[in-house]
Amino acid sequence: MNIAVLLKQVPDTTAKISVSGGRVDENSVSKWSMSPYDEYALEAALKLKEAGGGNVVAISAGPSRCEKLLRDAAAVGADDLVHIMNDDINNLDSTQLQKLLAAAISKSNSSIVLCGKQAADTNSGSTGPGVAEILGASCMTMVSEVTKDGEDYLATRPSSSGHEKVAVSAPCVFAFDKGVTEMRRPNVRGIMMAKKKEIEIWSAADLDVDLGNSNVTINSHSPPPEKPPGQKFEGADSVSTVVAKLRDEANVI
Amino acid sequence: MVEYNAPIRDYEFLFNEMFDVIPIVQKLGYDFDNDFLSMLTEGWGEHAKEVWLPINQLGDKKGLDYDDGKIKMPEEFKSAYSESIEAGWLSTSCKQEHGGMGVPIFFSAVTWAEIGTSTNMAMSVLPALSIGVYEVLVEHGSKELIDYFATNLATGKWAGTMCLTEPHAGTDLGIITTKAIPQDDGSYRITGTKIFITYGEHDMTENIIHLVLAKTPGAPEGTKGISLFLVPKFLPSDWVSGGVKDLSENLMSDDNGVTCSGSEEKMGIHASPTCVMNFDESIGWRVGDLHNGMPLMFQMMNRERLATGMMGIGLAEIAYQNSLAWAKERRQGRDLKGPQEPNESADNILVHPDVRRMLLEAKVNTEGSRALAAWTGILLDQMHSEDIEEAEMAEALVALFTPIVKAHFTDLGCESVNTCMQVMGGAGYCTEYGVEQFYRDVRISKIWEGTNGIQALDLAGRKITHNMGKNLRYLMWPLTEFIENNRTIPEMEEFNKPLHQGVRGLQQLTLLMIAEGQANPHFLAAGATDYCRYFGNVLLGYMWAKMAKISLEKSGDPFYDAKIASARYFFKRIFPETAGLAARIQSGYKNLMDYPVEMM
Ligand SMILES: Cc1cc2nc3c(=O)[nH]c(=O)nc-3n(C[C@H](O)[C@H](O)[C@H](O)COP(=O)(O)OP(=O)(O)OC[C@H]3O[C@@H](n4cnc5c(N)ncnc54)[C@H](O)[C@@H]3O)c2cc1C
Repeated sequence: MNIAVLLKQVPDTTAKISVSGGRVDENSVSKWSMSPYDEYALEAALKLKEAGGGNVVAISAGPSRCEKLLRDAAAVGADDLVHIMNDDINNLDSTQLQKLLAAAISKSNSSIVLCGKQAADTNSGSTGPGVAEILGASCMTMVSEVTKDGEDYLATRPSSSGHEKVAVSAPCVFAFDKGVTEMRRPNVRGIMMAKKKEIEIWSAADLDVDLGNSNVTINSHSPPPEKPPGQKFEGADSVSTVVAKLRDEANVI
Repeated sequence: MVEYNAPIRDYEFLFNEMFDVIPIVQKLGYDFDNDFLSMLTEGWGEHAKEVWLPINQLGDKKGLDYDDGKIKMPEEFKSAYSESIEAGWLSTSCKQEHGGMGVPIFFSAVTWAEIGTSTNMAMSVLPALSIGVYEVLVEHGSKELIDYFATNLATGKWAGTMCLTEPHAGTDLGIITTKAIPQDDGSYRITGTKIFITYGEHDMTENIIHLVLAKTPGAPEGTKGISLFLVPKFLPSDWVSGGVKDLSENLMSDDNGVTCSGSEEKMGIHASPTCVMNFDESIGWRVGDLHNGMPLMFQMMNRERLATGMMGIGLAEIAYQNSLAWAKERRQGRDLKGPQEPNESADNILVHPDVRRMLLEAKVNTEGSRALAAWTGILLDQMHSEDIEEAEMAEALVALFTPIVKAHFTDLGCESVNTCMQVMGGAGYCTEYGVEQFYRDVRISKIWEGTNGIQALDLAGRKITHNMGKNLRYLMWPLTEFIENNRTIPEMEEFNKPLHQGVRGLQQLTLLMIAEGQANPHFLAAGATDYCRYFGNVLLGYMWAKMAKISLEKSGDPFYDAKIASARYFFKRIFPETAGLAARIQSGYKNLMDYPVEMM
């Protein structure tokens, strides 16, 4: 069975974002990147494959720009690339998107699915659990590591007393927090192979998904409040002031 | 802690928006696209930052160990080198049949070279030399030599060197004395001493392949009698005869009479060995025709001189990034127009015009040079075009640009690193921040690969008249057309007008150099360095006007707005130096040559 990884292309954290009409102006985004938690998921998927076999299937939904993201995934070792082509991805609601992803996962013959716990742009955190619901799979959230344990999988996630290792069997979705290993760097050979790799392009119709109408409407957007200016203290004399502030104002000590 | 981020956005701008490189290289037969290019650029930027940069200061401090003819490199360098080979980053432009990646030349000649030198100049020269040797071999070597040596050079398993300089023969290679005696089996026995040989000896690779300039018995005097030989450090243990075809795949273990008798202590690039090499009846094979060594070397020089120019850019870039980061944190004095941050003890030093002048001078010269480098790199690919006109154009422009790229970029690079150090005050002079190392490392770039004075003479004495002035026409036609096309665009006037004046000045100075230079070569030689710098300024002016043109159409975005502001800085604060340069050229040679030498 294969290992699916869900990858989202988001504006790079270093790119300047401009907003028009309450939405990020896509045309003004100078650089798109893989959402950081997805990178951990991809690395974990590659490790699982190295340990236990199966193909890593990288799946991304979005417009044609996502091809670069899929090729980046191939450059570090993803075997199969699936592009769910949708030019209007931002106007799909979470359920519609999850239907597409779930259908692609099934079609790719994958029994376990890895993804980031949330995307760096929308931060809704619903994709992993939502996809699991549709697939009828178990779902582990906030995962930092997955290993194979016989036929089962062992996932490391936070617990009230530190970390717990939870055994789970396929089918399962693992939504990744910051993982234990950073995504590996691509090498030139990987990049050359990625360039030649076929990308499966699937539409909603290819996946037999009826998207229906969106159930979500956004009433209003507001930018985050401006950060209040920081305060700077220098020299040994200021220690008592800093301590007082940390205790009385910030409530951290 | 030294900071560095590869200038990926700038490269995307240059290769995609300014020069539209993809259709050009696709036409040349490369299977290459935008995504592939950006994956390579990002991939190499990341690799170099994580594998090469962290050991750059270590290499500077530790240097290398010379003991009884053997050089031990820092262990960290050996493992980083192996990691880079493993990942394929050292052979991008080599042919796939030799284990290379078959990527267009411009990537390795420009992007790879800049990022490599920024992150670790001492390390970067090793693969750069090996690839230089590989290219000469593949283009001019016999099939047997290629079969035996090319793959191991391309993959970095073996390293290469260039052995030109001798104790009494540096710039003047015509007087070298290294001898090559022909043998019955077609090989040669090479004997002589070479000095200053970069990576002449080391333990990074299992074999070292030297390209040696030498003279055969009875060869003509001067450079016309020089031939080129390939001399390995080790020969196979079961090697019996001189024929390359008899060489086996066995581990090289027999010494070939190549020894290292010293390693120089020097100002910078401490982890790059600079060796005295002795060849004692060493077995070698000729590459190319007899007595044709210099033209072949010069061919290799196009590439190596661009690589040297990239050292100027690479070190200026990393020095700029670090001095800017430092400046953003540093508070001293107040804005002369009144405190900007009254709650702080002092304002940030970016409020001071003079600090901005220093940073912008480095930034603008580096980005302008990078644009010209990008163009030159693409021309190196176009030189191989099957379209004869395209190849001829590319060859002419590369010939013309090479001395400028080498001399002007390294002059600017040294000046920029110097100014960046100044931005940081005392911290710039202290080791912790890295910039003083860049200052020491970059300095060699003005000296090796032909001193900058020699580059200027090459430009003024050969390149501008070469080909009946055809080289120059390939530049001047599109340049004057560009100026003409922009004459009626009001927003372009502030860039186009000074460029136009600069080009007219260049044309007049060129005529003067040719006319006066014919009558008196001292006139030409006395003005050559200033002429080269004038020419460099005109080319960077052309680049900045072009970048401004593209950016004006996209203004509103901070990246493009910064490009416009940079172009403005260039034409207002850098380009005006051309007036002074012109005056110096016109002052002639007497103020130099009439000076009483006994009083110097
Ligand atoms: C660290 C380092 C690494 C090196 N690596 C290599 C290497 O790998 N392989 C190799 O072969 N060499 C190497 N070199 C040698 C380098 O290329 C030479 O030092 C350089 O070419 C200058 O030669 P020179 O030192 O003999 O100076 P000289 O030729 O003695 O020059 C002295 C000065 O006179 C000027 N001058 C000389 N002739 C003329 C002229 N005709 N007209 C006007 N001005 C002139 C020069 O510009 C210079 O300013 C290296 C040198 C160093 C320091």
